[in-house]
Amino acid sequence: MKPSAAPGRWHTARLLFQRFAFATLVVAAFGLMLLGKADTILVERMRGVVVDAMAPVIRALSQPAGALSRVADTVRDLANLRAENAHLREDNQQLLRWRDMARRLEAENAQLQSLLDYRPPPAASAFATRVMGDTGGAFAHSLLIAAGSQDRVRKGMAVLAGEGLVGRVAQVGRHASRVVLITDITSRVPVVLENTRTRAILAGNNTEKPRLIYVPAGARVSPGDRVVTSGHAGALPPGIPVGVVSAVDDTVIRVQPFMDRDRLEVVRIVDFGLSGILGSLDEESRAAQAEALKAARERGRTQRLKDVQPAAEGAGP
Amino acid sequence: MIIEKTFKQKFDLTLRQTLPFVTAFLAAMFMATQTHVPRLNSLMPSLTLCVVYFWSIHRPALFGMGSAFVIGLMQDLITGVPLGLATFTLLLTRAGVSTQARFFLGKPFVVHWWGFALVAFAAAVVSWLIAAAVLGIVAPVGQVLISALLSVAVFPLIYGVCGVIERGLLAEEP
Repeated sequence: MKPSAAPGRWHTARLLFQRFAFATLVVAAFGLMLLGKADTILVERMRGVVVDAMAPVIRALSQPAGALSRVADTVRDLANLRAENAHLREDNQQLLRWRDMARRLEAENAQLQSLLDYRPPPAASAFATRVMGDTGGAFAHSLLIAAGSQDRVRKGMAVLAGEGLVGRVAQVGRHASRVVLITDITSRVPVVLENTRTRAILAGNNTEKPRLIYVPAGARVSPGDRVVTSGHAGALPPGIPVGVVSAVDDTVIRVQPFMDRDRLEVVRIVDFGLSGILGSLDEESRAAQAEALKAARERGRTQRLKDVQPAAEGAGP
Repeated sequence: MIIEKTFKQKFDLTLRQTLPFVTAFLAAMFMATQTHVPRLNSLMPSLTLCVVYFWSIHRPALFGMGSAFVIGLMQDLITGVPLGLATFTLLLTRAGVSTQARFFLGKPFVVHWWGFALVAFAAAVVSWLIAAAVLGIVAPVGQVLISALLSVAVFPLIYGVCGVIERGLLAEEP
């Protein structure tokens, strides 16, 4: 009797699952939604593991599209060769004039820095990597890049292309990482308008043209104004080109980013040594921040403590 | 010799039975590739929805609700969209469409296409509502609808590919 009982129970359980599979899986799907909101660290790790595992498949599937794109680019370049040559000659003349000016300003800048005893921030380290996937559709804008923790990629690092800011590293696997683009609905980048120094926040909205929000009342913003990072919040250094103001009306100011998402093949991952409000969530970083707090308290430097506190708080889940 | 043949047959059968899942998996992976087509990646059609729709009508036994759940979860994790969004949509599609499988079987392709158009727009609306109400993400309505329209546009291609697989590799299956 006993040997047949186990298969019988198994069969009953299977029947029960089949009967209630839909309800169970719907509940599980809602559970996932809640998990995504409640435990972002766990979900980030899961995403990192899955992206890592699937990276070779995505890379292989991207090859034909990449090859076709390169052929199309070659044909387009050949067709525009003459016009582009004339354009480049003009650009070259202009750049030579800029070079002379830059040399003069560089010398003047060095002289002024030595007079003021100015200490420049530590130099940023950067490396290039390939873009292997572009994901998200209408609900998210992100890229998959072929570099991960083994290449010393960390969460929060800035990702740049030749033209300007692309986004920031959001999840890190061993061999691959996800970059949240500045156009993503969750992206917020503190920026300034280069000429007027008006501060604002560049808010992604899952369209090709993010908006400027929190623009001070009465600020003068006009189409064509260059937008660069402000360096506030400590996540990105100031002065990284972001885009130009493309449209201004009573309610919305739109920015056309410099980065061209559809043509991104190689990006630069830049470590400016800034943890910012995102902070690094690994244990080492938390321990370092806790130690810094303790040291600041011991020294009793209240002003210093105020500077460290927000960074430590920002690292929380 | 006989045992070996039986094992081979079983192995072959198992491989064939995983084909619906494999096609859905490849569709999910393809959605994460960089197409280099201007604006296509932000309006990416839901290839997985096309595949799930096809197998829910033609081979529901080989593509169960668990498969829809796993493919949706994988899509959520890879594409970076809020967790649970594609999982729920694909699960709902699998459950809803398979109940209408008898109606669709034997009907001309145009009927399947119309059916898919309804499913694609319903899925777009459900996704948008869930993203907004449960996850607090208000995606641009226009992009969600254009993405659904593109899904309808690529459906004949996916239908053709899945049809070839079904006729060629799964024809002998029950």
